Amino acid sequence: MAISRREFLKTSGAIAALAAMGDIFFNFSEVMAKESMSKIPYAPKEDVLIPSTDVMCVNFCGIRVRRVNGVIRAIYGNPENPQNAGHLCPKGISGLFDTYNPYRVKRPLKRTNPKKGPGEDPKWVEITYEEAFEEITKRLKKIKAENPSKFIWQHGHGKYLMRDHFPKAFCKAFGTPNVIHRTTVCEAARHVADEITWGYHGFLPDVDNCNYFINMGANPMEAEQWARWLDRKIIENKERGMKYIVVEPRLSNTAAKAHEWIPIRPATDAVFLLAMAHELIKNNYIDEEFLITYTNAPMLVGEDGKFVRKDGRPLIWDKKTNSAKPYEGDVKPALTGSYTVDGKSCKTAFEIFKESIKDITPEYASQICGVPAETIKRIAKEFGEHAQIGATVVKEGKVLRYRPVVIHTFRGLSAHEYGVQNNRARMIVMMLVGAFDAVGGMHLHSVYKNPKYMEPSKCEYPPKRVDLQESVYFPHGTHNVAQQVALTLADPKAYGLQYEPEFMMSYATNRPFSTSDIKKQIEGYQKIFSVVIDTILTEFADMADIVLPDKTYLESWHWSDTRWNLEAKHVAIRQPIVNAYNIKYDAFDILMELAERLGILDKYIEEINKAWKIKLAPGRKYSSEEVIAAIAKANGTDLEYLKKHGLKVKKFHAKDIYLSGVEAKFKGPGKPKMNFYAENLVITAERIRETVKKHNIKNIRIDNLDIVYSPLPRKEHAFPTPHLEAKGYDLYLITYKRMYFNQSNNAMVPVLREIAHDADENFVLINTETAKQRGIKDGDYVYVESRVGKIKIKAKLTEGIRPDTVAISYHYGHWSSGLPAYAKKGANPNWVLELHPDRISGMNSFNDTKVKVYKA
Amino acid sequence: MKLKLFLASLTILNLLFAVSGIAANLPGTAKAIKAGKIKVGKTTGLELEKRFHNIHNKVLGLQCESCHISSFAPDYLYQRKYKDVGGMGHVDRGICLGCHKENGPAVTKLYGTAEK
Amino acid sequence: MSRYGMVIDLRRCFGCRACVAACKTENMVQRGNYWNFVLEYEQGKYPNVKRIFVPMNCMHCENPPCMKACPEKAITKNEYGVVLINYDKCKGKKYCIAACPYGVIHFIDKEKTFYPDGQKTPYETLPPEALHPLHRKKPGIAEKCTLCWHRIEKALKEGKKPGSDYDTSPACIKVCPANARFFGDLDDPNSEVSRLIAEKGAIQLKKEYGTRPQVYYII
Repeated sequence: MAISRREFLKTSGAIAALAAMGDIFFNFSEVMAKESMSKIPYAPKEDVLIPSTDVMCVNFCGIRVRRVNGVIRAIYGNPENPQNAGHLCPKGISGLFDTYNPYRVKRPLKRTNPKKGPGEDPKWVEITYEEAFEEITKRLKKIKAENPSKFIWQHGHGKYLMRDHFPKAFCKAFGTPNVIHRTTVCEAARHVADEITWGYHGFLPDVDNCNYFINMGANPMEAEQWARWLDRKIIENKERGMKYIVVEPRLSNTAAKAHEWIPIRPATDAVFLLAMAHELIKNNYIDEEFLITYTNAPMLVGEDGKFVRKDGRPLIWDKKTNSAKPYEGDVKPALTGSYTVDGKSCKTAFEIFKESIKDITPEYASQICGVPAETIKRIAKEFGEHAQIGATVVKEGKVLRYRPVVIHTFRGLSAHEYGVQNNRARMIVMMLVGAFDAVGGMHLHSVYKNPKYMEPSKCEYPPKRVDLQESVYFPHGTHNVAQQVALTLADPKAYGLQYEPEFMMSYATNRPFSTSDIKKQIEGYQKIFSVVIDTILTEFADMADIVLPDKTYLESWHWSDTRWNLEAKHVAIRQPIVNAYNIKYDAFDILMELAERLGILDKYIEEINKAWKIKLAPGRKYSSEEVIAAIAKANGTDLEYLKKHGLKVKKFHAKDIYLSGVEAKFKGPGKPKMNFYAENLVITAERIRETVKKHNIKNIRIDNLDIVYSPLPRKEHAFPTPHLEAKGYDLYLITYKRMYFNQSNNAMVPVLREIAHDADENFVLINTETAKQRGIKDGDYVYVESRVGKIKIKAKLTEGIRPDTVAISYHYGHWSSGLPAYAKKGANPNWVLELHPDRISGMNSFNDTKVKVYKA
Repeated sequence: MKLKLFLASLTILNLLFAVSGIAANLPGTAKAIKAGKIKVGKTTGLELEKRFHNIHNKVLGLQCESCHISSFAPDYLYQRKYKDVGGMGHVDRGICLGCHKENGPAVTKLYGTAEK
Repeated sequence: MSRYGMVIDLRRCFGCRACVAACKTENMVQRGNYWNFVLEYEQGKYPNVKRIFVPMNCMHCENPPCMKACPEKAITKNEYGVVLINYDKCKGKKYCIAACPYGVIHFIDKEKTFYPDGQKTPYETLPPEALHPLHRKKPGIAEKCTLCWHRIEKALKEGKKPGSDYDTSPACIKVCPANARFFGDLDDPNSEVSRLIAEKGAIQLKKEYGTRPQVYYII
């Protein structure tokens, strides 16, 4: 059989993968063809269920892996897990094929073709682990002696495998600041907007108590981090009577289950939300008490856009004494009005907001968003009514604010050039009705946990990090700036970097595949010596100099990431079920091994101890199982228990959900306040201007700082660069994720490729009318062309998309020479997406490009 | 939803068989086949030269297009509808129902009495 | 007496295909074949559009045309109402496929591996004694949903009520993220499925065929 398989590999163009192939699994079972099989007694030698945690996507569902005769036979949900409650998506169910993938990397590989990029065969040769470790150690030792910052570590999905605490600890021990995760590919703008506004990030709708749920482009029925909780919650609560509205340009599976789908023009959400705010204010659906008691809406703002201060403390207008005072003690702040303080005129932040949206009427918004004015008016009215401003409810003996309305989002508002501002608009609308941390409203996670987030950025220059995080380029980019690494590598001096990165190690991430404007990514990554740790030969691995195989999530010990929700939180592990290709080291082991060889083992262990609050003794290497046992103990459980149950759950009480957030941190005089008005951005913009002038920085635009870093969202935020500049490109392009795949992972899982009639290949979704005008029929190949690239892709005609918009999913169109032909079907929209990252957070602008579409 | 199609197939049923001239005595023909009086071969199978097509095509004179359609209507509920069946294409079971229902002329009563 | 069946709530189903994957892996349904599949269609004109998802597996008809059509008498309906194909008796004549108005029976023309290039995974090389007889399939036979009879059978042997928990229900039931799938005894008026059929007016598909399906849909 081996011969025919090799023959196949040759003909399928997967020669590169050949070297990585083991020869263990090709004893075709002759007995399968015999007729008398039913007579053989059913007697498996082993048939067990092993609890573990899924990571085929980032929901981290509880699973029970069924192993029969040493082989993974099936994966079931674990009903005890509070996230998925036993439910699984097709990815989680099909995870066994991820482990049994014949195209996995099985031995260390070394590149012999120095040329890198699509179409270049790396000409892999197998090397031993010893050879690989030696080469890596030699290079890293040199760098460590010269300047440790020249070492870059990147991870994406890897963060959720062994957890990023380990690479972060390793990099600290090594001495480099360059640890880069991929959040700007996901939702960084949402996080940063949260952080700027209330001092931490993360939120979940209180779906069980919500009566009016607006979803702006979140897609829990196809992708997303809380999908396996939110999907069934939405379905259940719709039946209870919750109204469920989806605002997005494409009729996603999520929108398909909505009471109402509002197809909005891409990127115009801020104007839609501001028009809602306009209507809420006009019709007096305003929770004045919330705005005054919890937010900085009553703060007085001077003509410079900054708060009027006394002894450094911002002032409000006290209605009791008719004077400006700090918000402390017995005061009665005015929410609206213009005042004069020390001879200078000022207004409350709320007053400024009110005036700023005076002209953003539903009629105006209708022109921008392509949504009828009547619809906007009605939605605002329904939202305001359902908010039941002033209402309270008693839960577990506590009187709680009751505002059963939410506006939820994920990538929909975030993956834009003005992602942070979009999200700020969403939060301002919710502040207007007081929906944060109220029963039925939006629950905020760890409010004010990091007060620094609410301060202006230091606008560092020159940047310390290769991704320019928190530098003058991305001043509030607290979640790393994934796509920037390649751009900096292409020309480090242009960004003021004081060193030239030399060595990059990447763990389970596929940067060139998952970032817009792929060409630029490739140009950057061609310039650095690269080591990739992964289970398959991704596009990133295809550009690597050395590839080290990793074990899969069904083969390793992991202290799993988990998802909290409004009912419970939990800790969970992953445990090895099999070792399909007898792989010796997983990523954890590789770091431990390298730490020892580099002579930084004790320092590494010290950093691990700090990160996990555990006490491993220095002086030796540890196995992942040992470390996880220690982490389990530090978390009040033990590994033996977790091996049996997979997880340990802690249930929440009403006080944890409703009284620990804004109530505890922001309520009343003398407390910090939620940033209704983001004065921090005004100061950040000022510092950017100064820094740019001082250092004569050429590649930062300062003419639009007032728009980009505006303290309040404004109508300009509905016009990302391509919408203004790409003349002649008449269609908006949006991107989305499908249920069947996660990001760039698992495109090779065969069950998922045939899970639906249209799962094997992706397509560009075009409105039937739009297609008709261009003579495009269903199934025709078309070109989708933007200012930066062009792809050929199948057209799929649908009524479920705006006529001015086309949509392409991710996951498809692989090009790595190490992947089989079927994984290359379809096209990757990142080739045509323009990159105009959000300048506050660094978030990638995946939904802002304009294209033309024509028959191929 | 499919009822309309089904009714349509019933009305054209007689037309289809009229071509072969045996429309008037479908039950008789069916019985004769079952009794072996009309030779249709003993080998069961859907292949052209085997019993199934001998009965439906050669004896009853159903033309290919009478059963095989190029594609199903977009809302047609049929699990294998995306599957490439090769040959002449899909078969709408409405055509089978006409004869093989409880009180239909065929001897093999595959289907029961229509319910509302 | 028990008569097992299903209720599928189309109002809840959001087309994730978890049931398809769960069925595929549980029942080792080879590439290209399905015991369970989700049809999807669009209704209406922009912007008043609906997308509808309809999961379809064997209806386990009370009056199964496949059983009557089979020239080899390889298809039976057991005392629990489950329609099963006997792989030893099946000669691959495909009459069942021709007769089924739901299109839920598939033919195994040749052995196909999950990975399209012919390489078998360990999952596909488990020896027959490690597989329930209903998973010991071979080329030249028809296959279809067994209502996870191997799970029902196991539950009955262990004295458990089929459908009472995750593992005594068919693989597609409790895994469903939308809670859109229900399994139970249609003869028990107090079962969840009987209650749903009565309360929500669940319907059977293609009633004009008189097949009397044991799979009901809430639409």
